[in-house]
This record gives sequence, C-alpha cells and structure tokens, in this order.
Amino acid sequence: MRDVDSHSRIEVIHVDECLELLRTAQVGRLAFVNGAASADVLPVNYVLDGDAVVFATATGSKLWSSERGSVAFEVDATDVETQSGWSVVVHGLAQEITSVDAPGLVARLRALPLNPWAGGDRPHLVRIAPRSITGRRVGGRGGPHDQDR
Amino acid sequence: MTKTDETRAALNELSPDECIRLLGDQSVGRLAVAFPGEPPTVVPVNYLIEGDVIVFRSDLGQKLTRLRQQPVAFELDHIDYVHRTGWSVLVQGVAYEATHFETDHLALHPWAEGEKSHWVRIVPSSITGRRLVLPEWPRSSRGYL
Repeated sequence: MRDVDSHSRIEVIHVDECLELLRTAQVGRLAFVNGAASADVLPVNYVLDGDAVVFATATGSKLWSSERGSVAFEVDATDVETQSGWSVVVHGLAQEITSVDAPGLVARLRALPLNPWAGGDRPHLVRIAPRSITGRRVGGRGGPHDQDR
Repeated sequence: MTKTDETRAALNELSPDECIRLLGDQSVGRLAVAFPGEPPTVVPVNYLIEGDVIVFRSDLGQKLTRLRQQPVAFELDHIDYVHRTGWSVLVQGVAYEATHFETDHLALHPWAEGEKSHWVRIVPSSITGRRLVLPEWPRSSRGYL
C-alpha cells in the first residue's frame, strides 16, 4: 500500500522499503551538528549491519562533540530528466566502534564489505544505531497544472 | 590569507569559485538544518543559484516552511563510481524566506509542489569544497580484497 499525497505527489516510503533502498546504494551523507550549531554534511562510503549504518572516517568521533552523537544519515537518488527521486534519512546515535567494544561486534563489522582499509591510516569505524528510518519519493510533475505531459 | 592553488590541490580542496561553478552546473542539492535538540533534518531540494545565493522553492513540511534567519547548510556532491572519484561542496549560510520581488524572475519549479511552497534564499557565509578520494571498491559484495 502506498501513501501518496495527491497534491504534492510526495510518497511516503515505508521502513522495509527504506532498508531495501539503503542496501542498493553505496554512498550516503553523514550530517551532524557542528560547533557553530549548524549542520556539517560529509559524504561517506557505507554498508548496513542489519538496520544500522556503518562507515569509516579519518577522524571518527572527533567530528561530533560527545561520545555518542545524534546524527542524520541521508541517502538519495534523483533523476533530473524525469524530475523524480527518493530520499531516505536515518536518525540515530553514532558511536565509534573500537577494540574496547565487544569482540564479536568488532569482528562482525570488520567482515562487512566496507573497504577503507586498503591504503594508509586505520580509519575510525562508526556505527549508527537507528532511532528512526524515514523515506520520501517524488515521482514527477503530473497534475492538472502540468503543461508538459 | 587566501590559499594558493598548490596548497588547495595538496589538501584536495576546491576554491570558492570552483564551488560556485559546480553549484551552477547542478540542480539538486541537500538542505541540512540543525534544530536545537534534534539530529539534523536533511532533504534534497531543486534549486537555482543566482550569484552566490542559493534559491529553492519546495514543500518541505511543517518544520521548514518558516526558515527565518536560520543557519543552514547546503550540500552538493557527485560520485563517479567508475573512476572512484568525486567531489563535495558545502555551503554554510543563513536562510531567509524570499519575497516575490526577489524571485519572480526565476524559473524554478519544485519537483514536489504543494500548497505551502515557500521561496527560500540561502545567503552563504562560507563556501567550501573538496575532492573525495574513495577507497577501492570491493570486488564482490561478499568480501573485500
């Protein structure tokens, strides 16, 4: 069952499909609150660990001030030609995973097909435990006021 | 003191002019707003750039219909999966609801049109960008080399 707002043509994507969409993509954007109370946005290569988002950064938790940062992780795909697209946003707590954490968790995460290990410094592994996963899809400009179709 | 091109290249940074050129080439970016006590709201928007001001009109939902003097971020990126390169641009600025005098001449139709569409202008306070250096893609989805 699809929830489409008939006027704006924005479709709400249910959480199961959001997770499927997250599995299809490889790059998402981490958004966190910076010291100036604005958002910083950083594209990263990621994988899913169940419904958690896992990625690596050069600086890890130094990006946000507290140990567990309340962050957003956004993934989207847009087609300018057809004026359509979808966007999934995960809100949750980001935590840097270190060797101090449960060995089982560390081993499982390091076995994921996320490959920043090749080349250079050991990156900081970060996992976002989701509190909410929401998605929206926009399908085009159909409607009585659209002259092009 | 402004950086030399050599310094920027070494840091994989883009100059503000390069960033503005990239902003001019694209038409979809992401608005990111940090409301107090919440994780950031991030939403793709269809935009235009006029000089260095970003203008968009979108039905963004209750929270974002009144962006008055709100610090916001606007992000743009491009990933080339074949060559494993990319770039990203991040604008920090202040969002103002725009008057029709400021926007009448712009041809911008949001992809999602709702009754509560508002025009918003972002006046930048900083424009930064960088080239992304992406890791080697794994050869198979099951493991990595």
